[in-house]
Amino acid sequence: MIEFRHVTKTYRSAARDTTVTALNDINLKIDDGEVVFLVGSNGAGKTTLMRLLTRMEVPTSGSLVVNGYDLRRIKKRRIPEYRSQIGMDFQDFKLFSKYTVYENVAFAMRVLGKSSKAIKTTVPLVLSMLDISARANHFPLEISGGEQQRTALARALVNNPKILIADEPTANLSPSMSREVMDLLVSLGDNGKRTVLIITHDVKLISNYENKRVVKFERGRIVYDSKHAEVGADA
Amino acid sequence: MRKYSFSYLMSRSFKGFSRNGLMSLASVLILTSCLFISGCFGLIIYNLYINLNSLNELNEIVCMCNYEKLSDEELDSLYNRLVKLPHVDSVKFTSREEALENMREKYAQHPQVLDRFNEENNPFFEIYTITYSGTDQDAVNLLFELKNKKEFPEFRAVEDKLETANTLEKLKNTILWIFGSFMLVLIFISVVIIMNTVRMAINSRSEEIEIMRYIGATGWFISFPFMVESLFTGLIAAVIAFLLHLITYNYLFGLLAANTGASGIIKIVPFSDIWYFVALGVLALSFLTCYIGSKISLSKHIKV
Repeated sequence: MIEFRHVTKTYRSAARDTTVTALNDINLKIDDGEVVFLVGSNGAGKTTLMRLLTRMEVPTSGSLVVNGYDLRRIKKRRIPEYRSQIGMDFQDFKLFSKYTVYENVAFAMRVLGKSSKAIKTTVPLVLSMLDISARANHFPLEISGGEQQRTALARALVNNPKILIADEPTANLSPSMSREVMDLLVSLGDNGKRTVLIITHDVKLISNYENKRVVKFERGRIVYDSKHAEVGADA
Repeated sequence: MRKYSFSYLMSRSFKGFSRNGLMSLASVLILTSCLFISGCFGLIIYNLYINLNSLNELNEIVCMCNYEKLSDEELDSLYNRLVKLPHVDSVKFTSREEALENMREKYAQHPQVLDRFNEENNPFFEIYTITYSGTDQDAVNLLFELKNKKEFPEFRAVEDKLETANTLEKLKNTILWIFGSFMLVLIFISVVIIMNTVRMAINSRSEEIEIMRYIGATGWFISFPFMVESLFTGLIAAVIAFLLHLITYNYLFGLLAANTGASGIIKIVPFSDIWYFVALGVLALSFLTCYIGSKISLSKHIKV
């Protein structure tokens, strides 16, 4: 479970000698196995939220608890262990151009110290699940955008994370490919075993998933949460 | 507990080293230069020490007895009084016969100089050579006592090398300070170079590091290749610096030997006697600077 309680995140701008509030008094509870769309325009606070969830940043105030880890108080040595439970899918894929599709996915397992045997068993399975086995020995620049996104997803999923965060997963894809990738992401959380957070500004695309929860951010505040529609039904 | 494959970690380190190409080469060359210059200072200091120390045994006091021959009992009593003095380490007795013999050996090439002397007209005296330890004040006190005619009427002269010893000590300390300071500056430069090299390597792989952090890599896993790369740079620099020392030292050794001939005015320790010190020295210095430099840089630029 993910629980934000009165979370505020501010940044100090040394150059302008001012404080910028990226997230302001956020209260948000996401249950295990939920698929949630986090939407909002640029500067709404979506990326800050993602960085807080991955413990790249620490809340300035409030409390943030994810799967029992208090991210404001977590010990430094436990951060890697916490992050290993989160799969991250980046907007620009962040694939290593000198690694093949297989090696890119295997890398995520090597980082966590998985054995060669486990890697040889798991990676082909994940590649097959995402339908990119045929591209296993290709380099990222040799495959399409959709395939690159699938490779990035395979890397995010290969360690079987409890939470999958996709940051603008369709930003660099064509409309048809976007729908395909979004369907895939939603399906990954459909069995209820994995929480899937999809950060996007493509409101049109998410209208296809009417039964899924949508949380809308504006200027660092939640202005709409479809689970509690009364919060900002006018949004 | 995560178990990383050692071969995988090492291969990542060496890939990183080769990927940095020119940067790695530059840091190897700069580090080699610093190690070589530091090593040169070290060798100069060492040889100066050897030469300064070999000038004389400086903590010695030579006490010459009166010309009137002393009896064996008197000599024994004198010896016993001397060894009981504070700060005296040893007392060596040289009879006038031994003194004459020693001189004959020293001037063996010119025997006619001492031929006319024999047991009856031996011009030498009994000598007590005292070695001592302690502070300068202890040495002064000892001298004062030995020169006291009431205490030791048997001595006609007492010679010490305290002033020379003090001058040489000051000279040695000055040299040590000057060369030591240079060495410290060079070590500092080496550390800064390694810090910068590691920082540049981190910057060039910032995206890779960020992905590793997101996946859940430990700080150790991220840092290990940079540390190995840095130590590998140090190893190569140390090997090159050692070879440079070997070549230049032997060349200069040959040059000095040819110019000073057999006079032995300047004593240079052969490289074969000190090669292991040099090897260990450059290796230790190199690893230490690389370790410190990369440790500082990694703790500053890699966050978990």
